[in-house]
Order: sequence, then structure tokens, then C-alpha cells
Amino acid sequence: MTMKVNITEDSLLIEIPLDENLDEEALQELHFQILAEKWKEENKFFSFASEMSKSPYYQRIIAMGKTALPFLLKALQEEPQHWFTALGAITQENPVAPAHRGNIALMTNDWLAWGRMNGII
Amino acid sequence: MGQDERNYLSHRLFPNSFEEPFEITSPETAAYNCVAWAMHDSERWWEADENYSWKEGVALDNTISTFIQLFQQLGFSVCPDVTLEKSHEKITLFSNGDGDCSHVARQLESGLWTSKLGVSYDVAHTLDAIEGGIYGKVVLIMKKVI
Repeated sequence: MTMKVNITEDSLLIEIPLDENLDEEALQELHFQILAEKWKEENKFFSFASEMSKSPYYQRIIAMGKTALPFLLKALQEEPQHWFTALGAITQENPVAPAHRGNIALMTNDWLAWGRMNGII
Repeated sequence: MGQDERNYLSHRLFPNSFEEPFEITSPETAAYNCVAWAMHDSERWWEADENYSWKEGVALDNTISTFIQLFQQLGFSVCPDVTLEKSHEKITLFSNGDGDCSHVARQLESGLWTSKLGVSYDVAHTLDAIEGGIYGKVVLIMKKVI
């Protein structure tokens, strides 16, 4: 079984073992994980989150829409990272308290609380 | 950090770092960026964006003039050179020639510079080690009394 992940004009072909029985949600999560990993790998030296979010990998995650929300929040739970622009773009909300802006741990907590309140995690 | 990753850094993103001092001095973290690190803040990510820490009254853009305004509010003034001065702390603003600030580095007591590289490591380096890479070159120097 193979999986084609469209990233830019090129595609990435992912080999999945034949005995792997993945449902649609698992495939979407795998898609997210691949995009997230490529994004982190290629953009981690930019000084600003606004530059990092211009990456085609990041934009593909935003384009996944609400499907990506549980994966984004799960990724935040595992490792604080600059997913706030994507979360804001998809949800059109910003639950971060003004006093928490810039503090990645507190911003993460605010988004995770939002996710629990909305039954996403 | 393995040699392979260091080579990746050195050759692809900071080509001069192979010949110049470029020492990793911290673990990777997304908690703060180069702007925060320039002001000794390792708790917050500073960026001209409504999601992040920023000085009230300073424009929400990345232009060099905005960064001059930001650091002036923090006690810095523009200065002509990077000569080490015991009574002053110096920072340098980098740009890729588009009028925007791409990076900020802070001078250490040793005369070397310290930079937070995005969501990655802090490094101690010469300015030459960083220049010519993804941040472009130094376009402005500022200092404040210690």
C-alpha cells in the first residue's frame, strides 16, 4: 500500500507496510505528521513564526481545515510549537489570554483548554 | 548534535560557519526567539504579531525602522561599530536586503556574539559565521549602557 501526499507541485510518495490497516482518520493523521515534520525540519531557523507559517507544508496543514484540528492540538500536547497561526486560521478564534501572548507554554495551555471545551481533545 | 546535522547547518544555511566559530550553547526550544534572546528573555517569543509579545505603540511589522523603534524603547541607540565596550551591550540587526529585519544577535563579554536560531539552538559565533546565510548580513548596530 502506498500513500501520495501532495505538498507543492511535487508529491511525496509514502510507503505503508501492507499489513497496516489504516482507516481514513489514521491516513489523515499520517498526512499531517509528514507535513508537520517537513515543516519543522525546513523552517526551524527562521526568526519569526510569520516566516515559518509561509511554508507550503504549513499552508497545506491549514488547507486540511477542521480535519487538522485534533492533530494540531495533539501535536501541541506533545511538543510546544508554533501552531497558533494555523489554529487561528482554521477556527477563526483566538482563545489566548492577552497576558499569555508570547509565552508558548501558556498559549499552549489556552489552546488545549479551548480544545477540551469544544470536545476536540 | 551530530556531525551530519552540523554540516547541514554549516553548509546549507550558514555557509561561513564552517570556517568561523559557531558553537551550540543550548538545547532546542520554541519558547523564545532571537529578539527575546537579544534582550535576555528566554521565557517569551517576541514578534510583531498579535499572537506574541510586543511593545505597545511599536508598529506590527518587521521593518528595520520598526526594530530600531522597539530597541530604542528598551534603552538602545544606534551606534557606528561593533567594537567591544565594557560599559555597553551591543546588538546587531540582520537583513536580507528587503528592508525587513531577519535576525538579531547580542554581543557577549568575550567579543563573540550569541544568537537564538529560530526554534532551534542558541549559538555563540562571530558575525562572519552568520553573515551570508539565511539571515543575510548585518545592517545596523545598536548599543545600550550596561
